[in-house]
Formats: sequence, C-alpha cells, structure tokens
Amino acid sequence: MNVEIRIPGADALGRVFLTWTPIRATARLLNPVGTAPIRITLRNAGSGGRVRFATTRTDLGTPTLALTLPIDGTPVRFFVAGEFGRPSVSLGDAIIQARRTGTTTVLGRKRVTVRVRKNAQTLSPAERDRFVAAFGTLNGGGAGRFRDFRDMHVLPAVAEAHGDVGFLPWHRAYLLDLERELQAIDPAVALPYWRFDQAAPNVFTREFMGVSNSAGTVEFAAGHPFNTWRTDGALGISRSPRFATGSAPGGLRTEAQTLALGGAAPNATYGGFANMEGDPHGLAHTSFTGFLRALGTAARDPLFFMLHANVDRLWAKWQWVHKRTSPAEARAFAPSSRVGHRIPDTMWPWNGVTSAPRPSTAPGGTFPASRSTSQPGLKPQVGEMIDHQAVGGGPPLAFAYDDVPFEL
Amino acid sequence: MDVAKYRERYEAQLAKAATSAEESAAAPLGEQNLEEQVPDLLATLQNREEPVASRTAALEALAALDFLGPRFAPFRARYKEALRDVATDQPQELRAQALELLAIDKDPYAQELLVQGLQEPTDALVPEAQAIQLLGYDDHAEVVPLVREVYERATGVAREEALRVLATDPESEQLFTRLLKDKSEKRSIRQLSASGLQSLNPEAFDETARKIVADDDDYNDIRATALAALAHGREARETPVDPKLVETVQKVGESTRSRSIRSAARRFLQSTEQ
Amino acid sequence: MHDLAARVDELRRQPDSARELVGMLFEQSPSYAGRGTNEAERVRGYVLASFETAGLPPEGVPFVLEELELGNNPYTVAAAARALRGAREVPADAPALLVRAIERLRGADDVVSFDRFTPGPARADPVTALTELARTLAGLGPDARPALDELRRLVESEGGTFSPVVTAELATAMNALEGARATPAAGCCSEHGIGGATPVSLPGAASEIAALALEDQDGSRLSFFEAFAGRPTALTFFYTRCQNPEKCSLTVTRLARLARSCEAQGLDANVAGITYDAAFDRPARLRGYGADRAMAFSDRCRLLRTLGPFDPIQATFDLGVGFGPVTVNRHRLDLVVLDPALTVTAQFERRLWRETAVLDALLAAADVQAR
Repeated sequence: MNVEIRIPGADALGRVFLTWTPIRATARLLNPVGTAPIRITLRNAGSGGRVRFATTRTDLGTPTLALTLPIDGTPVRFFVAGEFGRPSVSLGDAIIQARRTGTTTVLGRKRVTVRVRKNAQTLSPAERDRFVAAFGTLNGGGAGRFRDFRDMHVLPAVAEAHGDVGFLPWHRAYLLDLERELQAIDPAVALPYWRFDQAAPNVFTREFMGVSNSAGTVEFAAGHPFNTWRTDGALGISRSPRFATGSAPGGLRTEAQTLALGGAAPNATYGGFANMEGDPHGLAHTSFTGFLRALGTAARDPLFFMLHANVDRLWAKWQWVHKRTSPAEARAFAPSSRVGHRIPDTMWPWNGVTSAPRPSTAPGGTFPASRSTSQPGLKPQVGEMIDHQAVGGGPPLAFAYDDVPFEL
Repeated sequence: MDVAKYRERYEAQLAKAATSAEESAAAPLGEQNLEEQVPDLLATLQNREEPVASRTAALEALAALDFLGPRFAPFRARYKEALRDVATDQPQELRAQALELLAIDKDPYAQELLVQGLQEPTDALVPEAQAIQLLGYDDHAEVVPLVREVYERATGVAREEALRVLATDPESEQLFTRLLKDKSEKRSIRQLSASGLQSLNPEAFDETARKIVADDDDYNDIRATALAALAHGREARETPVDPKLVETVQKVGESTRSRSIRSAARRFLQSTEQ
Repeated sequence: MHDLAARVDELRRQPDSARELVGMLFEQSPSYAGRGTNEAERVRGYVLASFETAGLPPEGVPFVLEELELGNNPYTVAAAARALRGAREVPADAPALLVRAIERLRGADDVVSFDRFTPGPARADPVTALTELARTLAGLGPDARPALDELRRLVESEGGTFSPVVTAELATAMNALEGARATPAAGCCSEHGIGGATPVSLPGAASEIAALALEDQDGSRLSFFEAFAGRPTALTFFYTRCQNPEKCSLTVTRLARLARSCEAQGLDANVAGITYDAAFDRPARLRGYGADRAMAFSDRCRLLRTLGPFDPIQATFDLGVGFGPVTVNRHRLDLVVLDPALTVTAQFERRLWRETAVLDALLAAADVQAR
C-alpha cells in the first residue's frame, strides 16, 4: 500500500518547483489494504528546502498535516508551499513524505525544489556556479538566445520600458523571460539579486561577476564561462565599479529609504514609489563605468539582470509590506497615457506589435511558457505582472524572493 | 518562519529608518520636475570654478537621469554637448567619464580625441589601455589598423585591450592562433587569444583548443579556459561534437589533479549531452 | 576624410556642383573604401547639407528620402532635412518622412553643425537635428499639408520627449501647415513609413555568378545556381552587425514575413538574404539572426554567405555597399527579383520595398517561365 502525492506543474522529468505561493496538490491511496480509510501525515523529510502544508489556501501552513485517505483511491486535496526562509539549495532537496499516522512507516514521498531568487552575496559556490554556467550557455559565445534579451533593451525600445509607470512591470517581465530561459538550460537556477545598498564582495570576484582590470574590462577565473561572453559581436564585459567592492556603492537610497518613497503606510502609492527609477536604480547603474552606465549598452553586462532583480525585489517588498498586490487597487499602480504602460496593455516585444510608436522589430517572440504555471501567458499584460505571488488568487508567476513572503 | 512576526520586525526596521533619517531631504533623483533639476546639473557640470567632486556628482546624476528614457529626452542634446565640452577638461576623472559616455554612443568627436591620444601620447586624455577600450565600443570604426599598431608597441593591460578589440578583425586570426599556442606568453594573453580566435574562426579554435586540452605539459589555467570556451563559447549547441574530443576531455577530466580543469571538463561534457 | 571634406567645401563655392555632389553619395564609391562608418556618415552628411545652397537635383532625392525614412544618425538625418530645402519640387513622400524621422529620433536628438567638417563642441547657437527637421517641415508650407495629421498625433502622444526649443519649432511647423491651402493628400505610408521603392527593371543576368559558392545557415554548401534557379527569387542583402535596426534587422524581419506570404499564396519562390560580411557571419550567426526574426528556414528560405569574397555579388547587382577596415561602413537597402533563369527582372533600391510590390514582381517573374 502506498500513497501517491501529486503536485501539478511538474516538468518533463517529473520535477516540481515551488515558491512561497500555496499550490493545490493531492494525495491518494494506491493498492489499499483493509477496508477502513487510512490516516496519513505529510511531513518534511529533506535536508535542504522545506515545505508547509494546509487544507486551505493560506499563509499559515504547518510543517505537518494529517489527512484521511479513502480506500477507493479518491484523491484528497491539500495545499503545499515552500516554507518561507527555507528554500532549497540543490535540486530536489525538499522531500514530502507521507507516513502512516502514528507509525514510522513511509507510504509515499515526493521530491520538490523550493526555488526562489536569492541574495547573490550569500549564494553557495555551487549555486553561483550553476547560475553562471547557465548564463554562459545562454550567451553561447555571442550566438545564443541571450542576443534577443540584449536586443530588447536597445535605444529604439527605450520608451517601452522607461520613464513611465510601466518601468517596473516591464522589467519584471523581462527578468522572468530570462529566468525561464536559464531554467530551460538548468532548472535549478533562479536569478540572484545584487543588493546594491549593501556590501557584496562575493559578487565581485573572479569566480562570480569578475574583477575589473585597470582598463575597465572584467576578468574572470580560468574556465569561467564568461570568458567567452560576447555581445554585439564583441568580446568581453566593460565594467569597473566606482566604489570599493568591499562596501556598497555610495549615495544610493537604502532599502528602507526606497520603500518610503511611496509614502508611509497605510497610504503608500505606486506613483511615488516608482520614482525609485532615478534613485536608487539609475544611480546603481552609474556606480559603474562601462556597459551598465548607459541605457543602450546596459543589458550587455550580465550584472544588469542581477541589478534589476534587486529593483524588482524592492518593488515586490514594497508591494508586500504595503499590501499593494492587487491590480484592482488604485494605489497599486498609477495611470499613464502611454501605450504599454497601462494595466490592460500587452507589452512589447512579446506582443509582436511593431507599428508606431513601437519599435519596428520585436525580438524574441512570445513569452516563454512554464510548466509550473500558466501565467503570464504568451503576451503578458502590464496588469498580469503585478501580483506575482497571486495573493489575490489564481496562478502565480512562479518566481519569488527569499525575503518577500506570501501573505494573504 | 512566521510571516506575521517577520512583518512586525520588518515594519519596525522601516519605522526606525524613517525616524533616524537625516532623510534625503533632497527629493529623489528625477522625482521633481526635470526642467528644474537638469539645467542646474548641466550648469554645475560645465562650471570650471566648481570643485571637481561637485562636477563629477553632477555628471553621475545626469547619467542616472538618462535612464529615465523619454523623460530625459528633451535634455539629451544639451547633455551630449556638455559632455563634449568637458571631454577635454583638466580633471582626469571628469573627462574620462565624459569620454566614456560619448564613446558608448560612438560619438565621432570623442573618437577623434581618443585616436589623437593614441597617435600622439602627449595629447592623451586617458591612459592608453582605456582609450583602446573606449574605441572598442564601435566595431565599425577605422580604429583597427591603429590598434594593430598600438598592439605592437603596447605592454601590460594596453596590450590586452588591444587584443580584445582585434577580436572583431578577421585579419588578426593568425595573431591569435600564434599567441594561443605560445606557452611562454602571459596567461591572460593566451586566455584572451583563445576567446579571440574562437570569435573569428570557431573551427580553427576547436582544433587548437583540443590539442591544448590534451597537452599535459601545458598550464592548467589555459587548459581549463580552452575547455570552458569549447563548452560555452560554441556558437551553436546543436553543432555535433567530435566524439574523439569528448573522449579526450573525459580522459583529461579523470586524470587531472587540477580542480579548474575538472570542473571545466565536467561542464563541457554536460554541455555535449544536451 | 579631410580631402573629401575639402572637395565638398570647394564644390559649395561653385555653381552647378550638385551633380558631382550626388556622385559623392554612392556607397560603393572608392572614396569610402577602408573608411569607418562614422567617417563615411560624416562625409555623407556634409555632402547632403550642401544641397541646401547648391540645389537638390532629382538624382539626389532618393538619398535624401532614404535618410529620412531609415536613418538613425541625427547628423545625417538633419543633413537630409537641410538638403530638402534645396529641392525645387517637394517629393511627395517627403512631408510624411520628415515626421517619421522626427518620431524615430525623438529619443536621440543631438546638436548638429554643417558649416565645418571636423566634429567638436558647438560654438554659438547650437541647432539640433530635430530642429532642422521641424524647420524644413515649416518651410515646405502647403506642400507639407498631408503630414499635418500625423505631426499633430506625434506631438500629442510624444510631446513630452521634445525640448522646449524643438516643441516651439514643431508648433511653428504645425502653424505653417495649418495655415496652408489643403492639397490632395498623397496616399502613402500606413505601416511605418513603407512606401517608397519603385522597382527598376535592370537588364542583367545573375547567371554570371551561377557557379558562385554559397553556404547557408545550416552549413550546407551550394552554388548560386543550385540555390535559386528554377523558380523566381527575392534576394536581399544584409549583415548581422548592422548598426541601424531600421535596415538589416527590419529587412530580415520583413523578409521572413515575405516568405510566409509567398507560402500563403501558394507562390513557389525563393526568399533569401546574402550577407555582406562573409567572414564574420558564419552559419551559426546567420541561423541565430534569422531565427530571432521569425524566419522559418527551408530550401526556399535561407540566409547565406559567400565562401569567397562578396565582390562578385556586389558587382553583378551593382549593390550600394561600402566596406571599412573590418566590416561594412554603409549600405543602402537592395532587393533584387530574379526569374527562374536568374535574370534580374526588378530591383528595389534604397527605400523600403512594399511587400505587395515584391510579390507582384515575383509573380511576374514566375510567368516568364510559363511563357
């Protein structure tokens, strides 16, 4: 007699990835013995990531859950979510175990990965190496799919994503697109964020994002995938921090200051918060020389995506702390007269629109799908990027930050 | 972790920061009307009486505001002119930054200044290595013949930067091949040459890289570099990999004591498994 | 370059110099060989600006319109705006293209100056590219009336991106156009300024290069003949490191669309692109570039490179392309239509080609076979 645990959203190899958002799952009996329903307890058995269980969609899951499974094999529903603060460190290191209640008999188990975006400064060497390897492959020496990402962030496309309220949702979609491509290469990978208001000496090493030489080019350890990083047909990454990498860049708003931009609770508004586009976001860019320093070249540097992951995390944090996750809530967003910056608008380039005032080409095609979720669809709308953890219900975007919880 | 407690703690942190804040009394960059902010910043930037620190701070603020895209567009022409104005100014840091921002935009004036500096070192506004790197932003420039010359006489980092620029020049293929094979060359030069050769002629690189990988008398660093380049730098992951190469890498990966070679080998083998 | 600039200075002082100035605009001119893109653009802009006083002859008009339609360098586009002021008759497409240029450059305005050749910080009274465009529009008066609606729409939706000076110039332009007599609108551009290239029939045979060796995006090697003979062909030219997204990137995107249209219409034709940059654009690059632009590769739809030099192709089709020390320095759009026997039946040059026009040309070329 055993218990089959099913969680939807498994990939072709049966692997399941969770974030903090509760997902419906089922457990049912196979090959039953006896006539009475069997009582089981779901629990954590892995040594890495952990999950929480509940019978309803809640942020108050518990580390164990008792269920009664009928003999006829009817599935019993429950909710499972990653346990906030306990993400996985390697693939499949979170194990859901079903035990016969009151015994140590294991009736079923399921490996899952609690996969969230983490602070680049504290990644384990293994996580760091996997990320860098996947990214190196995506760049493919200049001919990989990274080209599209670079082409989405060029001067003719600037108005689609900057200087207006769509800045945050557009970049959230941009990062998610990239992350899904990285995960297609290595599903263990999630995009790490570079917290630019804290010292991050582990990021600026030869093993990770490189050390700048005196000319302002970045150097990497022998064998590092970024030694063959190419963009626009040219080799290498131009970057030099204008700050000592043992400290944070100076002059940028801290996280607390950034979160205060929209005003204090309970009246925080998006319009005020979105001013973070200048400071700290713009200043984070200009705290380097090289590609990152200018709009047209910034996306040539892989660090761009980690910088923006932090921008996105700050937004996610603000959304959580001020409860601004619903697109229907007026203060969760702000109006705009520009196409591509309004809640129901689809976004370039995924919408393939190339008529004026949009750019004349739309690289990359539609948004990549994910096994874990149906959102945001092939042509994401601005509004679909707002509630990334699906606090308001429905499918989440299937990414999360290690320090932004799911809370109803 | 209890989310409610986490929230309590975090909100307390935010509150503490709010009260203790000397608080950027200044509005965040870009929040107020740019029509007021930008002209002031431009004036500071171009004012030679101002201390260097204020001028560079103004430049940084302007460069950050440029990220606001359409909102900064009305000032872009004046901004570029201001950059050209300070590109020849006294303070080194200021003109280096201005030149870089112009060079990223492939500005012809900046390129001319940089080229003059390479041809006539007494006129140089930035160090040689940096000038080469800045000129490298434009692969459609005439600069390659000059860089080839500079390469011949350059040393140190300047030589490496010159090589990097030459990685877009098909005529430099022989140079890269020679440097890559030369065990007496500096490691960084050989590594650059590996990537450069791969840029110009992936097939030729494959051949040379294979020999290097199999050569137990060559340095671990360069062998690991060659392996990583074969794994990640290949233009198409679909091109079939020579099974003999896979065999070689397997053997090398097993027999080597070097960690970097082992991990590079592993990555290479993973990449060929698709 | 300064010898070329000196020549232009001389010509500016002479009457009847327009013809020779036009001659300096051909991309394949030996004067540009070995030059970098910035240098070539600089000369072109300097030449174009000269037409304001020298007068813009009809042969010069396509160069001006091309720049307004596709140019992304404020210097050269502004020069084209100036050149237009020297035209006796305003080309029908010009007003709409001026507005398109303003839209395209709205995020990249820069100070431009044409009274001296060497680049440098402005002296007095800096004038920007957008200003030059607006002024030309204003100066066209009644002839620019067809573009008024588009201009209004642009100012309404994108007005925030213009500096106060440019905003004022555009207001002046709108006034000048509004006050003018309405002229029947020249039917033109719906989709991104697509209007322009009218096919030229060139007697010519591509059969001279029938044996030329090519390689496609999959590394398959075949001759020009093997690739194209036996059915009509739409052949264009591009390179992956083209710096103007309105040129090669857009061209290949549209080429992919053209291929789909052919299929949809049941037209058995080749649709292909050959790169100018054979040494750099190896098969994997070609494949990536096409795939990124939704090109579905097949034996009717390929991106190719020459295995030897590109010259024979340039010579056969008289393509407008110049080469710098490393890669292309400047090129015009070029699309040729070949019949099944590899005779050139139509050539679209310099301006964006209309898909319908190319399809018509392909159908006509197919009929040749049937006869």
